[in-house]
Amino acid sequence: MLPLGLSMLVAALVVYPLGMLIFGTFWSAAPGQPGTLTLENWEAVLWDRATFDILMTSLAIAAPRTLLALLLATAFAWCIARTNVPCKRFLEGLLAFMFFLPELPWVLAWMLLGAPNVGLLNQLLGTLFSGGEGLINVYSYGGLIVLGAARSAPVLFLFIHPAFLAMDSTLEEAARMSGASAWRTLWRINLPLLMPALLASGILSFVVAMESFEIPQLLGTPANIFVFTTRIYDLAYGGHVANFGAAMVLALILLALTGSLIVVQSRLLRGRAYTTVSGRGFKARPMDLGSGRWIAFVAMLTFFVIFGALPFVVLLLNSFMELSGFISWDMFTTKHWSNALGRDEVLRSIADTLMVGTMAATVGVIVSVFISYIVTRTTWGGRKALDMMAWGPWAVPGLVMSLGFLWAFVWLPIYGTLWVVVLALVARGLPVASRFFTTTMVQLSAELEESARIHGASWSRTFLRIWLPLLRPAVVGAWILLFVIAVRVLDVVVLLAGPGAHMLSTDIFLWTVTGRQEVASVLALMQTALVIVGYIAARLLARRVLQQSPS
Amino acid sequence: MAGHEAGIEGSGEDAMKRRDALSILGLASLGTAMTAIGFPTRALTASNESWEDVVAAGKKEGLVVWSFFGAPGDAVERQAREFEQLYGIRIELAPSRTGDFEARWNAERAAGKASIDIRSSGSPENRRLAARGLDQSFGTLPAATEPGVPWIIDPLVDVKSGNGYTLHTSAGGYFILVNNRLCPPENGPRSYKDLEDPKYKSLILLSEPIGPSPGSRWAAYAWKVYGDDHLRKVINNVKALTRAEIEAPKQIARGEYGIFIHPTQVGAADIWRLPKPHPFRLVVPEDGVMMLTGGMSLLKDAPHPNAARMFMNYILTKSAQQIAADDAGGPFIRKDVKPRIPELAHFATAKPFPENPDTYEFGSKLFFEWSAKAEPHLKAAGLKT
Repeated sequence: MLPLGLSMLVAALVVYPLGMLIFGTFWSAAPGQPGTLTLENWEAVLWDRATFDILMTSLAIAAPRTLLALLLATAFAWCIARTNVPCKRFLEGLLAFMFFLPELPWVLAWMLLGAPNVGLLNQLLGTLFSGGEGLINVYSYGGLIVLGAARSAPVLFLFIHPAFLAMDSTLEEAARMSGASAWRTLWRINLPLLMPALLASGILSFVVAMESFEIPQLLGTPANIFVFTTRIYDLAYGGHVANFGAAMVLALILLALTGSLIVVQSRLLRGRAYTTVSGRGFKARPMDLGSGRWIAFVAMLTFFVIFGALPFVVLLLNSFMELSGFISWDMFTTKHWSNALGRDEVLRSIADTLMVGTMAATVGVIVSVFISYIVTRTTWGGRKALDMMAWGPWAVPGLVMSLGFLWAFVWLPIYGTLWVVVLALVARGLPVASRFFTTTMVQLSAELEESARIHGASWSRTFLRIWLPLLRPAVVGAWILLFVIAVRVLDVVVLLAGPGAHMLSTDIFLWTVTGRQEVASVLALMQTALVIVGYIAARLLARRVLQQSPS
Repeated sequence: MAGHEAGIEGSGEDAMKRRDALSILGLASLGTAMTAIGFPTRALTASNESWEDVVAAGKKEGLVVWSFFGAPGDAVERQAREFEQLYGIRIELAPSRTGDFEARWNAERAAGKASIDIRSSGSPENRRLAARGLDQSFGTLPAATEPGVPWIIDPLVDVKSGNGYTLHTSAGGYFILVNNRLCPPENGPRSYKDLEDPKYKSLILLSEPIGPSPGSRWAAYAWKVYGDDHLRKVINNVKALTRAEIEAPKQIARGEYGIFIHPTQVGAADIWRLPKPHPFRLVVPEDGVMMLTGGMSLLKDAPHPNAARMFMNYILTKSAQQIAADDAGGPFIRKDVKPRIPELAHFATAKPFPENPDTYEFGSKLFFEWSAKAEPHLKAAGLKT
């Protein structure tokens, strides 16, 4: 009953909007508008040589970006979860903080920092040594890859870190006692056990890289680098008449690409055991890195300073400048803050964003826990289809998925209210959250559940007393992740937010495209503060629940 | 392509007419009953109605949903607030980009839930709505026909020539923005024609000619007057394309690029806030200013048409126009208002570009055909793949 009901819910949230998109590719006008069935959209895209070129360019950026992000995130997660690197909580907090920074202002800050010759970093390098002013150029393949990876690594860390935490250290100790070095242990013990989390994170990161829009739009276009999403934007928004059909064909090609990766992932993991948490208990003892612990600490701190602190400082300074990008004392002003805080619209956006974020994260976690449970712990026949369905909204670029949500949800009575935004965000967050729980659940042994059932516990009692306590770190992590996505995401809500639902993300976007980045910076900092409040609240609540729950 | 579009639009129009006819036949009596009990219904425009009737009906509707390009700046909010104070009619602001607006509005109309009354944007967008029959008559607006008002252009120019119902509410002009260090005044361009000179090689930042961008406007205007070879020569001097047109003036001020074609007065207003002496200069081209008008459309299926007409009327009043001019670089359409930065209001008095084609045909169709002339040269110059 539960699997069927859940599948119907996911179908309504995912398959229905996707179905509208697929229909749109065969329709000569936007769905709902008068038109005829046609193959023109498919022909136009598939016979266009540019499609192949753009696919190659997108892959050339997404593949190294994914590898770099995965490498960074795995290294960070390993250091923090499995070694004696100092100030772990501090480092974890810094990575979380980086994840909280909104993307659009972050990219604009990097345009100021890394523009050729006149960028602040280039100017600094120019004063340090001759020729230094030309070293950094964010308008390049390198810029797109490095900045994209820096943006993805903190998100992937959130996925990989719980998997490292859940690993039994006796496995590592056994390897070390058998004479294996730290690196060999990592390579032969840790990484194979982490394969589900690494594969899921790698695919997620690849998908994010392929559907990334802000970075290629702002940094790629000036360098004549066009990718899938900028092409989709051109088709949907750039012409005389919006060609949504062709844009959706491109989006479906991307969906097929990522869908096949998910199939590959399940094939690779089939028939192998990744259980590390069983009924016999486990210890998580940190590995001693010796003097290398400080090197690891400094390396992580440097990463944060360059990719987190620097753009944040630029964002903060911008919010106090008469004109963004021109940072000097004679441009100092507090008027953007006083204007923003004095506006009813801003306060309404904050309240709506908070409400939407909380609801979307809570509903998303509940739905995702059950999806993951059904996928990993039951033999229900439709579980694979359910897993694939949950991936849908992530595999299609948000630019296009938002159209699917709009066309699907405009008919509902709740259209024009906050609730329709919540629904879209729940759907958008499903792949992330369900992946989060799936990677944790495959590490949990079935004997825990079996022993509870043998002792007479009902399924619901087993779920509440065995599963939930074990999943607590993942629940907190997923909630925070979904909350952050809901508060920050722009593309999904841009067509659904409006008079009935004000979102800070759309406000930031509109102020940015209108050229008032100083105002956008103020709102972006408010958004960051909102995310931090949600993060702290979730951690405190989790701690309290843990203290109250029976051991 | 154009024929294909026309076919779709035609069939949509027919369907709309059939639907309206059915609505009128089937729901007229129900509508009368609903009006009698005070239920707000969509007013059917009668040609002989008085403005007092419109005002009375508008006040009953009590709301206008105003969609416009960009963020709700000071002028927009002040105008909305003043209108609310004058008439007690609430203004709901619905800012969005062109594509977002169209996607949302199309879906809403298909579901019978159109929520937007008015769309404001650059005139090409409004004229495109007019060409597809997606706007509707706003009747007679007292402010538009007030005698003796010195308009920069007649707000009713399209209506009077039978080209749909775009109300022109502002006028703006483009110019050339130049960095003083990279391109000193003695060597700098004085006209659009000058930009052909190879001495400007790798100095120019061009707004990418895509959709209704400023770059498209430049390409279309320049091609019409100077021809294909001019486009080729200028594009050969382009260092980079940008889609961040609002950011571009700042890039010129910072010295990232030497010349930007071509910002509006709104874009330049931002860098005008920098301390003087400015590291840049505005060049009002000797061969003329390329004009752009801002349009406003009363949308088909607008749920509050009378209140919307009142707002369209208000936006042409001196008070509303002065609010627009109070914004640094804010565009306006009446010459009897005082711009906050007169140097940025050159469009009101400057010589227009030859054959300045800011006409209905240009805005609705030719704009995109002409601006596409830049495409092969951009590819040849390696600026686009």
